[in-house]
Amino acid sequence: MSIPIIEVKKLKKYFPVRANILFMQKEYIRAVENVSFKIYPQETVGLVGESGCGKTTIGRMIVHLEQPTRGDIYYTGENTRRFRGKQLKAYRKKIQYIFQDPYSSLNPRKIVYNIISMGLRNFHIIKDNRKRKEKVSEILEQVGLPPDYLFNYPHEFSGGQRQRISIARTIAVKPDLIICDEPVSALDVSIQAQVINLLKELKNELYLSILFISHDLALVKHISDRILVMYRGYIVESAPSASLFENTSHPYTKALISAIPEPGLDAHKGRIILKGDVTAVTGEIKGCCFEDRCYMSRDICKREPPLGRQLIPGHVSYCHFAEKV
Amino acid sequence: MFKSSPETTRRIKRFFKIKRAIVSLFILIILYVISFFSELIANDKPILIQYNGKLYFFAAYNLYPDKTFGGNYDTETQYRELSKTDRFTSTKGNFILFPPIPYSPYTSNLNELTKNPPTPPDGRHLLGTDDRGRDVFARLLYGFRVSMSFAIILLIIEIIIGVIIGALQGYSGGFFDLTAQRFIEILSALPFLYIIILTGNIFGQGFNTLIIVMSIFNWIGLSYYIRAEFLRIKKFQFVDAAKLLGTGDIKILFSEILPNALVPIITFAPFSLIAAIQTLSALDYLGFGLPAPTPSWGELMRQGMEHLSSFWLSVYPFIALFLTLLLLAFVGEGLREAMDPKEYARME
Amino acid sequence: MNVNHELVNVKNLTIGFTVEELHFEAVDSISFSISESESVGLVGESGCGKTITSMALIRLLPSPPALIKGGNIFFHGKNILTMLPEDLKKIRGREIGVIFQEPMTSLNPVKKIGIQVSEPLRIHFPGLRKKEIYEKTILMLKEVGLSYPERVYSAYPHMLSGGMRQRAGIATAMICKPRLLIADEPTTALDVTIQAQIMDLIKNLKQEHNMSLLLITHNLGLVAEMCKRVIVMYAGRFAEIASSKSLFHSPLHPYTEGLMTSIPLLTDEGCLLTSIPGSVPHPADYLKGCRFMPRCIRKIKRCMRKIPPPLFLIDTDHYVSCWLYEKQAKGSL
Repeated sequence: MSIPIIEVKKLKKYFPVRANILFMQKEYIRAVENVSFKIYPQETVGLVGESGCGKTTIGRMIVHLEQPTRGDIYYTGENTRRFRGKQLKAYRKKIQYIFQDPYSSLNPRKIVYNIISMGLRNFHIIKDNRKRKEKVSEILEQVGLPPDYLFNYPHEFSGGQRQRISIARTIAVKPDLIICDEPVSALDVSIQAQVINLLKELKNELYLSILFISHDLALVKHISDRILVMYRGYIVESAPSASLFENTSHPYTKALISAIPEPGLDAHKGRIILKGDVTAVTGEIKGCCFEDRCYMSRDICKREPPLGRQLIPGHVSYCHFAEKV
Repeated sequence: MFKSSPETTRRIKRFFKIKRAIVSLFILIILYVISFFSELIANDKPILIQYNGKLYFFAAYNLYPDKTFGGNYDTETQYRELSKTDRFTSTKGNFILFPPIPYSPYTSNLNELTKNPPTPPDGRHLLGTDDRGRDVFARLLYGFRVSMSFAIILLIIEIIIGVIIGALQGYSGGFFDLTAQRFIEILSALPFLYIIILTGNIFGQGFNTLIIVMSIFNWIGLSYYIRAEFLRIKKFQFVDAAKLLGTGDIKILFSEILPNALVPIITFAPFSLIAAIQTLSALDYLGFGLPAPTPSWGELMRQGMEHLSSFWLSVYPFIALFLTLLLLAFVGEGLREAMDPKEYARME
Repeated sequence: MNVNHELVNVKNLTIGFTVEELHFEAVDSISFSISESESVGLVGESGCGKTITSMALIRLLPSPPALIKGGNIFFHGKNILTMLPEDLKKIRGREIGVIFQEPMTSLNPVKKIGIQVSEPLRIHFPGLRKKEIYEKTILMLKEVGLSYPERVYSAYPHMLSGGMRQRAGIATAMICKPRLLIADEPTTALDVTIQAQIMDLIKNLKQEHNMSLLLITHNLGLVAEMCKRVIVMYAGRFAEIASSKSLFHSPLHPYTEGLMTSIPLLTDEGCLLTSIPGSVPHPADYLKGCRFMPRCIRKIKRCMRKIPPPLFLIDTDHYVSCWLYEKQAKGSL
């Protein structure tokens, strides 16, 4: 296989929560723990988990909006840790990001032309003003918006249209990888499909890779080639899309799948209702991260952290009892 | 092709709907523009002179030596005396057109006064004269220009310093923010009046000294607002987005965040003007403000205190000050209402 | 349907709004009823008027901007819209309980959970002694599945997790044993696994106390699981009313159909999703005729007419507001 665009190795991110005045004790929220994965060219990787599981933090670390506490991120084999100045700029041009909230991600004081052309100007992709304008109209059309919207302010658009503008601004700089952080969760149901379809089309047209971050398992399944399931900062299961659902081998994934309400006729399927809630833990987790809510937990789960076990090639589960799930 | 942002348009529209504020703003602007032509309104130098068939315009802006009008000296003509001399009255058609108020705020009209100054209001001096026989109306008019100019210059400096420091604090956060915050606390703990007196003594009282010293303290209030605003706005995703699209920090600061942080500056401005005018009047009143001959409302009020029986020395400057501050407050109130996102918070 | 068993009856309800000198009708002459111990789902996208409708049921709409322009709401035979404020108070919280969307904002951050949960009790049963109130509250907290109810009683909202807060919210709505529970997007702010817990809880409580449920949501899946009858709302009007079985088996309205095919399912294989073109109109731009027409892919000539399509009766209890079904209609509402 070719070189991965992004390789993440043992990534950790701790957020300090309570540093007292004497800097004696520091407590951390362990947002991301030892996460490793690869994204290959033209691959769509889904990152699924509930709120607070660290999925957004991973995305933000990849684009250097957040510094990892430990671990490295490699871009086509090159460690990005020391990227500064020009190198960082060149890197950011290749890795773009679509934000969740289409309302706060567009500057209300800027017209659409300025928003979309920002990257073209800053990365010196097109220097000529007239050509740049042509290009922006072209991109606007590409994301399904009429080009005469060029001089409108974001206020004048609906949520779905705003998300299209967001997408336009990222594809304008011709990135290799787009990180989509819950790109449709703030949109109306009937609009979501439009945006998802657009992303899929663009991916094929522009040979993009996508890291799709979402809490919606069905959506992730729809768009991804490979899925990583996260819980409390850990990756608990990683598998090709189809295999994750056919050969589910982590109790958390199983519970997650069963919890999705589906408008089908056989509504009464076997539902696993987990006890308790995701709690933010500041201390170190000794055993398995899912142990306190797991319906299969045994003594060993409290004592030893589960190692990744590959039951089927390409399908890794971090559970002591992966076979029995 | 340029359209202003709909939010801005809506705010401007809303402001224009608030009658009281828009009328006040209008009056203030007109008064301030007029005050720039004070020399043509209240002055002892004529607007127009015809002497021996030649016209001389705007003596206030051009220096015409006595020799021009057949005198003996190179110094400036004493126009009031000139109009009474024989060489002037002898030729037919010679005339002098004085401004509506033919008195300068600087000259004492002692020889024309019948009583000892201060004299009460009469037909010639509409608002009376002060203790040196200077026309009170002229001094009020010039005083308005001085006060407003002082306040506006101070406001501009305040905005520049306040925005830069507040923006840097809010955007960078962390160590710089903490250090700057402590520095500001030290600064705001310094005794303001004491420093004014001190610098006045060392460098001499003057417009520039006063502006500089007051600028050192004045930006602090605004910087708090700007800092808070930047702290809030920098968390918006469009700031992250701009960063990822290769925008530099300085550009993010001023072209991404600042346009969204203008509300506190705009609503703050009229009240800052009020504060500046008040401070200047108070300092003049105490005698630590502008140096002696400068026309100033505070200085007039001090005379009023010394001559308690002469009501015109305290009442008229007080009314002038009150009206100016009231108009400014109306503008400020209107601006604040227009900026208020809550539709139903407005009182009618 | 037996009239005696009707708990809520809404007739021709129209709600107007005035925002910045713009008048529009967010809800346009809708009629529906909820029977005793029935569970009804109200489905629609944001801005379609579903929350406004539910708030009107207990007259909680802020006025201005909202104004009820016409229609009647009967609760147990009494007209809520003409009721005196004192009588209204007796119904709110006592006969009708409400669960709000955002558990963090619907609870007062400076009051203890127990005090807030027991508030309806203290209002509606002033004769109760303190100890009784405390015991009833603890019992209620236990019933909504909060372990350590005594501890929760004296906790403040920020000390609880989102799921626990929503449970406390449910306890507040349920403590007077209302006959109708309005749940307005009760799980949108929560994670999927917590959503499953909460929905399970609401279902059990409903069965135990034999109350009616009005579930307002944008999630078709939730409705399918929770409700016997579903009302699909679009742009201030009802698009389709049907039993949930019949709705999911054979959706009639193009909008309902579009909604169902536009969400990815776990069971289908991914190619492109069928999406509904365009976007939800702003209430000020609502059309006189069929409001879905500009986005509809199956529109016919009749759809351009300036009269709204009535709710045609197609099958037993299956109504649809679409001109396509005019010919096969057995009647209309």
